[in-house]
Amino acid sequence: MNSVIERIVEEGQGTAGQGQYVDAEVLSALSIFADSMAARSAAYEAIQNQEKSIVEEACQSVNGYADPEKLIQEMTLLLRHSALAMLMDDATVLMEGGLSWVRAIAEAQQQQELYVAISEKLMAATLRALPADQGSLLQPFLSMIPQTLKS
Amino acid sequence: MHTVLEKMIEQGDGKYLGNKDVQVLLDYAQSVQLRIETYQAIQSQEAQLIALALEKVHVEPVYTSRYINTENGKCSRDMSATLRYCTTAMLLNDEQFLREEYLIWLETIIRSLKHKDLTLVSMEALGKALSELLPQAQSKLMAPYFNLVCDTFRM
Repeated sequence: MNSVIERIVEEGQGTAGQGQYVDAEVLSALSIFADSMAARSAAYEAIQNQEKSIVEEACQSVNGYADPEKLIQEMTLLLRHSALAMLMDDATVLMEGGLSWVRAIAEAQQQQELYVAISEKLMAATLRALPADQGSLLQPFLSMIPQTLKS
Repeated sequence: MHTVLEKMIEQGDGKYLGNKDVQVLLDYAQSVQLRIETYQAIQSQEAQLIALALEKVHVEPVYTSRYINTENGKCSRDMSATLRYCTTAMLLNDEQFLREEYLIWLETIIRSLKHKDLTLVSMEALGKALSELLPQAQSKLMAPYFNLVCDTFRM
Protein backbone atom coordinates (compact mmCIF):
# COMPACT_ATOMS: atom_id res chain seq x y z
CA MET A 1 0.00 0.00 0.00
CA ASN A 2 1.12 3.55 -0.66
CA SER A 3 3.01 4.52 2.49
CA VAL A 4 1.19 7.85 3.01
CA ILE A 5 -2.27 6.32 2.63
CA GLU A 6 -1.23 3.50 4.92
CA ARG A 7 -0.06 5.95 7.61
CA ILE A 8 -3.35 7.85 7.45
CA VAL A 9 -5.31 4.59 7.83
CA GLU A 10 -3.19 3.34 10.74
CA GLU A 11 -2.60 6.59 12.62
CA GLY A 12 -6.14 7.86 11.96
CA GLN A 13 -7.53 5.11 14.16
CA GLY A 14 -5.66 6.23 17.26
CA THR A 15 -6.17 4.05 20.31
CA ALA A 16 -9.26 2.53 21.93
CA GLY A 17 -11.54 3.58 19.08
CA GLN A 18 -11.05 7.29 19.77
CA GLY A 19 -9.58 8.27 16.41
CA GLN A 20 -6.63 10.59 15.91
CA TYR A 21 -5.50 13.35 13.57
CA VAL A 22 -2.33 12.74 11.57
CA ASP A 23 0.65 15.11 11.67
CA ALA A 24 1.09 17.98 9.22
CA GLU A 25 4.06 16.07 7.77
CA VAL A 26 1.72 13.27 6.64
CA LEU A 27 -0.68 15.77 5.08
CA SER A 28 2.23 17.36 3.28
CA ALA A 29 3.31 13.96 1.91
CA LEU A 30 -0.26 13.33 0.71
CA SER A 31 -0.24 16.69 -1.03
CA ILE A 32 3.04 15.88 -2.80
CA PHE A 33 1.66 12.49 -3.90
CA ALA A 34 -1.51 14.13 -5.25
CA ASP A 35 0.43 16.86 -7.04
CA SER A 36 2.47 14.24 -8.90
CA MET A 37 -0.54 12.15 -9.98
CA ALA A 38 -1.01 13.82 -13.38
CA ALA A 39 2.64 13.17 -14.28
CA ARG A 40 2.41 9.61 -12.95
CA SER A 41 -0.69 8.82 -15.00
CA ALA A 42 0.94 10.28 -18.13
CA ALA A 43 4.01 8.10 -17.58
CA TYR A 44 1.74 5.09 -16.96
CA GLU A 45 -0.01 5.67 -20.27
CA ALA A 46 3.30 6.15 -22.10
CA ILE A 47 4.61 2.83 -20.77
CA GLN A 48 1.42 1.10 -21.80
CA ASN A 49 1.69 2.48 -25.33
CA GLN A 50 5.36 1.53 -25.73
CA GLU A 51 5.45 -1.72 -23.80
CA LYS A 52 5.96 -4.01 -26.77
CA SER A 53 8.91 -2.13 -28.25
CA ILE A 54 10.56 -1.61 -24.84
CA VAL A 55 10.40 -5.30 -23.94
CA GLU A 56 11.49 -6.43 -27.39
CA GLU A 57 14.48 -4.11 -27.28
CA ALA A 58 15.44 -5.38 -23.83
CA CYS A 59 15.14 -9.04 -24.81
CA GLN A 60 16.77 -8.91 -28.22
CA SER A 61 20.06 -10.77 -28.75
CA VAL A 62 19.54 -12.82 -25.61
CA ASN A 63 21.80 -15.82 -25.65
CA GLY A 64 21.73 -18.72 -23.29
CA TYR A 65 18.04 -18.77 -22.52
CA ALA A 66 16.03 -21.76 -23.65
CA ASP A 67 12.65 -20.07 -23.94
CA PRO A 68 12.85 -16.47 -25.24
CA GLU A 69 9.03 -16.14 -25.36
CA LYS A 70 8.80 -16.91 -21.67
CA LEU A 71 11.49 -14.34 -20.95
CA ILE A 72 9.49 -11.72 -22.87
CA GLN A 73 6.41 -12.59 -20.80
CA GLU A 74 8.35 -12.25 -17.57
CA MET A 75 9.87 -8.90 -18.52
CA THR A 76 6.44 -7.67 -19.66
CA LEU A 77 5.05 -8.65 -16.27
CA LEU A 78 7.85 -6.80 -14.48
CA LEU A 79 7.35 -3.70 -16.62
CA ARG A 80 3.61 -3.67 -15.94
CA HIS A 81 4.12 -4.03 -12.21
CA SER A 82 6.81 -1.35 -12.26
CA ALA A 83 4.36 0.97 -13.99
CA LEU A 84 1.60 0.25 -11.46
CA ALA A 85 4.04 0.66 -8.57
CA MET A 86 5.08 4.04 -10.02
CA LEU A 87 1.45 5.12 -10.50
CA MET A 88 0.67 4.34 -6.86
CA ASP A 89 4.11 5.20 -5.50
CA ASP A 90 4.16 1.82 -3.83
CA ALA A 91 7.18 -0.47 -4.18
CA THR A 92 5.35 -3.42 -2.64
CA VAL A 93 3.18 -3.61 -5.79
CA LEU A 94 6.31 -4.55 -7.74
CA MET A 95 7.92 -6.72 -5.09
CA GLU A 96 4.81 -8.72 -4.25
CA GLY A 97 3.28 -8.52 -7.70
CA GLY A 98 5.91 -10.29 -9.75
CA LEU A 99 9.46 -9.52 -8.76
CA SER A 100 9.62 -12.12 -5.96
CA TRP A 101 8.23 -14.68 -8.38
CA VAL A 102 10.72 -13.86 -11.16
CA ARG A 103 13.59 -13.92 -8.65
CA ALA A 104 12.52 -17.43 -7.59
CA ILE A 105 12.50 -18.55 -11.24
CA ALA A 106 15.94 -17.05 -11.88
CA GLU A 107 17.34 -18.77 -8.80
CA ALA A 108 15.74 -22.11 -9.61
CA GLN A 109 17.25 -21.99 -13.09
CA GLN A 110 20.56 -20.66 -11.79
CA GLN A 111 20.34 -17.84 -14.29
CA GLN A 112 20.45 -14.81 -12.00
CA GLU A 113 23.21 -13.16 -14.05
CA LEU A 114 21.18 -13.42 -17.23
CA TYR A 115 18.07 -12.01 -15.53
CA VAL A 116 20.07 -9.16 -14.00
CA ALA A 117 21.48 -8.29 -17.43
CA ILE A 118 18.05 -8.39 -19.11
CA SER A 119 16.41 -6.32 -16.37
CA GLU A 120 19.17 -3.70 -16.72
CA LYS A 121 18.42 -3.63 -20.45
CA LEU A 122 14.74 -3.27 -19.62
CA MET A 123 15.48 -0.21 -17.51
CA ALA A 124 17.75 1.29 -20.17
CA ALA A 125 15.19 0.67 -22.95
CA THR A 126 12.43 2.25 -20.84
CA LEU A 127 14.49 5.32 -20.03
CA ARG A 128 15.34 5.73 -23.72
CA ALA A 129 11.69 5.44 -24.73
CA LEU A 130 10.29 7.98 -22.27
CA PRO A 131 10.84 11.71 -21.76
CA ALA A 132 13.31 12.38 -18.95
CA ASP A 133 10.68 13.49 -16.41
CA GLN A 134 8.66 10.32 -16.94
CA GLY A 135 11.78 8.17 -16.87
CA SER A 136 12.79 9.61 -13.52
CA LEU A 137 9.42 8.56 -12.08
CA LEU A 138 9.96 4.98 -13.30
CA GLN A 139 13.64 4.61 -12.51
CA PRO A 140 13.37 3.96 -8.73
CA PHE A 141 11.10 1.01 -9.42
CA LEU A 142 12.93 -0.36 -12.46
CA SER A 143 16.25 -0.20 -10.62
CA MET A 144 14.74 -2.37 -7.87
CA ILE A 145 14.59 -5.28 -10.31
CA PRO A 146 18.32 -5.95 -10.91
CA GLN A 147 19.08 -5.02 -7.28
CA THR A 148 16.59 -7.61 -6.05
CA LEU A 149 17.70 -10.26 -8.53
CA LYS A 150 21.30 -9.82 -7.35
CA SER A 151 20.42 -10.16 -3.68
CA MET B 1 -8.76 5.77 -1.43
CA HIS B 2 -7.31 2.99 0.69
CA THR B 3 -10.06 0.64 -0.47
CA VAL B 4 -9.79 1.88 -4.07
CA LEU B 5 -6.03 1.33 -4.19
CA GLU B 6 -6.37 -2.19 -2.79
CA LYS B 7 -8.93 -3.00 -5.48
CA MET B 8 -6.77 -1.50 -8.22
CA ILE B 9 -3.71 -3.47 -7.12
CA GLU B 10 -5.78 -6.64 -7.53
CA GLN B 11 -7.12 -5.54 -10.91
CA GLY B 12 -3.71 -4.36 -12.07
CA ASP B 13 -2.03 -7.70 -11.36
CA GLY B 14 -0.38 -8.40 -14.70
CA LYS B 15 -2.43 -5.97 -16.79
CA TYR B 16 -2.94 -2.24 -17.15
CA LEU B 17 -5.67 -0.37 -15.35
CA GLY B 18 -8.40 1.04 -17.55
CA ASN B 19 -8.88 4.75 -18.21
CA LYS B 20 -11.80 4.88 -15.75
CA ASP B 21 -9.63 3.61 -12.91
CA VAL B 22 -6.83 6.04 -13.69
CA GLN B 23 -9.41 8.84 -13.82
CA VAL B 24 -10.54 7.89 -10.28
CA LEU B 25 -6.96 8.49 -9.10
CA LEU B 26 -6.76 11.79 -10.97
CA ASP B 27 -10.10 12.97 -9.56
CA TYR B 28 -8.99 12.12 -6.05
CA ALA B 29 -5.66 13.90 -6.56
CA GLN B 30 -7.47 17.01 -7.74
CA SER B 31 -9.64 17.02 -4.62
CA VAL B 32 -6.81 16.47 -2.14
CA GLN B 33 -6.04 20.13 -1.47
CA LEU B 34 -9.63 20.86 -0.42
CA ARG B 35 -9.71 17.66 1.62
CA ILE B 36 -6.55 18.69 3.48
CA GLU B 37 -7.93 22.19 4.13
CA THR B 38 -11.14 20.65 5.46
CA TYR B 39 -9.19 18.21 7.62
CA GLN B 40 -7.11 21.00 9.14
CA ALA B 41 -10.16 23.22 9.68
CA ILE B 42 -11.93 20.46 11.62
CA GLN B 43 -8.79 19.56 13.57
CA SER B 44 -8.30 23.16 14.70
CA GLN B 45 -12.00 23.70 15.52
CA GLU B 46 -12.87 20.35 17.07
CA ALA B 47 -13.58 21.81 20.53
CA GLN B 48 -15.85 24.54 19.12
CA LEU B 49 -17.68 22.03 16.90
CA ILE B 50 -18.41 19.75 19.84
CA ALA B 51 -19.42 22.65 22.09
CA LEU B 52 -21.86 23.89 19.45
CA ALA B 53 -23.25 20.39 18.94
CA LEU B 54 -23.76 19.97 22.70
CA GLU B 55 -25.64 23.28 22.82
CA LYS B 56 -27.96 21.91 20.16
CA VAL B 57 -28.43 18.63 22.03
CA HIS B 58 -29.27 20.46 25.24
CA VAL B 59 -32.44 21.91 23.73
CA GLU B 60 -33.63 18.46 22.70
CA PRO B 61 -36.05 16.46 24.92
CA VAL B 62 -33.32 13.84 25.42
CA TYR B 63 -31.31 16.40 27.40
CA THR B 64 -32.52 14.79 30.61
CA SER B 65 -30.99 11.45 29.72
CA ARG B 66 -27.95 10.29 31.63
CA TYR B 67 -25.97 9.85 28.39
CA ILE B 68 -26.30 13.53 27.47
CA ASN B 69 -26.70 15.09 30.89
CA THR B 70 -24.85 13.37 33.70
CA GLU B 71 -22.53 11.56 31.33
CA ASN B 72 -21.76 14.61 29.31
CA GLY B 73 -18.16 13.48 28.93
CA LYS B 74 -19.20 10.21 27.30
CA CYS B 75 -21.34 12.03 24.74
CA SER B 76 -18.45 14.41 23.95
CA ARG B 77 -16.05 11.50 23.54
CA ASP B 78 -18.37 9.78 21.10
CA MET B 79 -18.68 13.03 19.16
CA SER B 80 -14.92 13.52 19.12
CA ALA B 81 -14.23 9.97 17.93
CA THR B 82 -16.96 10.19 15.27
CA LEU B 83 -15.61 13.50 14.06
CA ARG B 84 -12.07 12.12 13.80
CA TYR B 85 -13.06 8.94 11.97
CA CYS B 86 -15.35 10.85 9.59
CA THR B 87 -12.57 13.37 8.91
CA THR B 88 -10.05 10.61 8.18
CA ALA B 89 -12.58 8.90 5.89
CA MET B 90 -13.15 12.22 4.10
CA LEU B 91 -9.39 12.72 3.67
CA LEU B 92 -9.13 9.23 2.16
CA ASN B 93 -12.42 9.51 0.27
CA ASP B 94 -13.22 6.11 1.73
CA GLU B 95 -16.62 5.24 3.24
CA GLN B 96 -15.55 1.64 3.73
CA PHE B 97 -12.79 2.79 6.09
CA LEU B 98 -15.42 4.51 8.26
CA ARG B 99 -17.76 1.53 8.17
CA GLU B 100 -15.19 -1.16 8.86
CA GLU B 101 -12.90 0.63 11.28
CA TYR B 102 -15.46 2.52 13.34
CA LEU B 103 -19.19 2.19 12.71
CA ILE B 104 -19.48 -1.56 13.21
CA TRP B 105 -17.67 -1.23 16.53
CA LEU B 106 -19.58 1.88 17.60
CA GLU B 107 -22.94 0.36 16.79
CA THR B 108 -22.17 -2.70 18.90
CA ILE B 109 -21.13 -0.55 21.86
CA ILE B 110 -24.10 1.81 21.65
CA ARG B 111 -26.61 -1.01 21.26
CA SER B 112 -25.24 -2.77 24.29
CA LEU B 113 -25.66 0.45 26.29
CA LYS B 114 -29.14 1.18 24.85
CA HIS B 115 -27.99 4.63 23.73
CA LYS B 116 -28.79 4.23 20.06
CA ASP B 117 -31.47 6.94 19.75
CA LEU B 118 -29.55 9.39 21.91
CA THR B 119 -26.41 8.90 19.89
CA LEU B 120 -28.36 9.61 16.71
CA VAL B 121 -29.53 12.93 18.18
CA SER B 122 -25.99 13.89 19.17
CA MET B 123 -24.55 12.89 15.77
CA GLU B 124 -27.20 14.87 13.92
CA ALA B 125 -26.36 17.86 16.10
CA LEU B 126 -22.68 17.45 15.26
CA GLY B 127 -23.52 17.31 11.57
CA LYS B 128 -25.47 20.56 11.90
CA ALA B 129 -22.58 22.18 13.78
CA LEU B 130 -20.24 21.21 10.94
CA SER B 131 -22.47 22.81 8.33
CA GLU B 132 -22.70 25.99 10.42
CA LEU B 133 -19.00 26.41 11.22
CA LEU B 134 -17.35 25.21 8.00
CA PRO B 135 -17.50 26.83 4.55
CA GLN B 136 -20.04 25.12 2.30
CA ALA B 137 -17.46 23.37 0.13
CA GLN B 138 -15.90 21.80 3.23
CA SER B 139 -19.15 20.77 4.93
CA LYS B 140 -20.31 19.28 1.62
CA LEU B 141 -17.23 17.04 1.58
CA MET B 142 -18.04 15.82 5.10
CA ALA B 143 -21.78 15.26 4.52
CA PRO B 144 -21.62 11.72 3.05
CA TYR B 145 -19.72 10.46 6.07
CA PHE B 146 -22.06 12.02 8.64
CA ASN B 147 -25.03 10.74 6.66
CA LEU B 148 -23.51 7.27 6.84
CA VAL B 149 -23.13 7.61 10.63
CA CYS B 150 -26.74 8.78 11.09
CA ASP B 151 -28.10 6.12 8.71
CA THR B 152 -26.31 3.46 10.75
CA PHE B 153 -28.18 4.57 13.88
CA ARG B 154 -31.52 4.83 12.10
CA MET B 155 -31.39 1.18 11.01
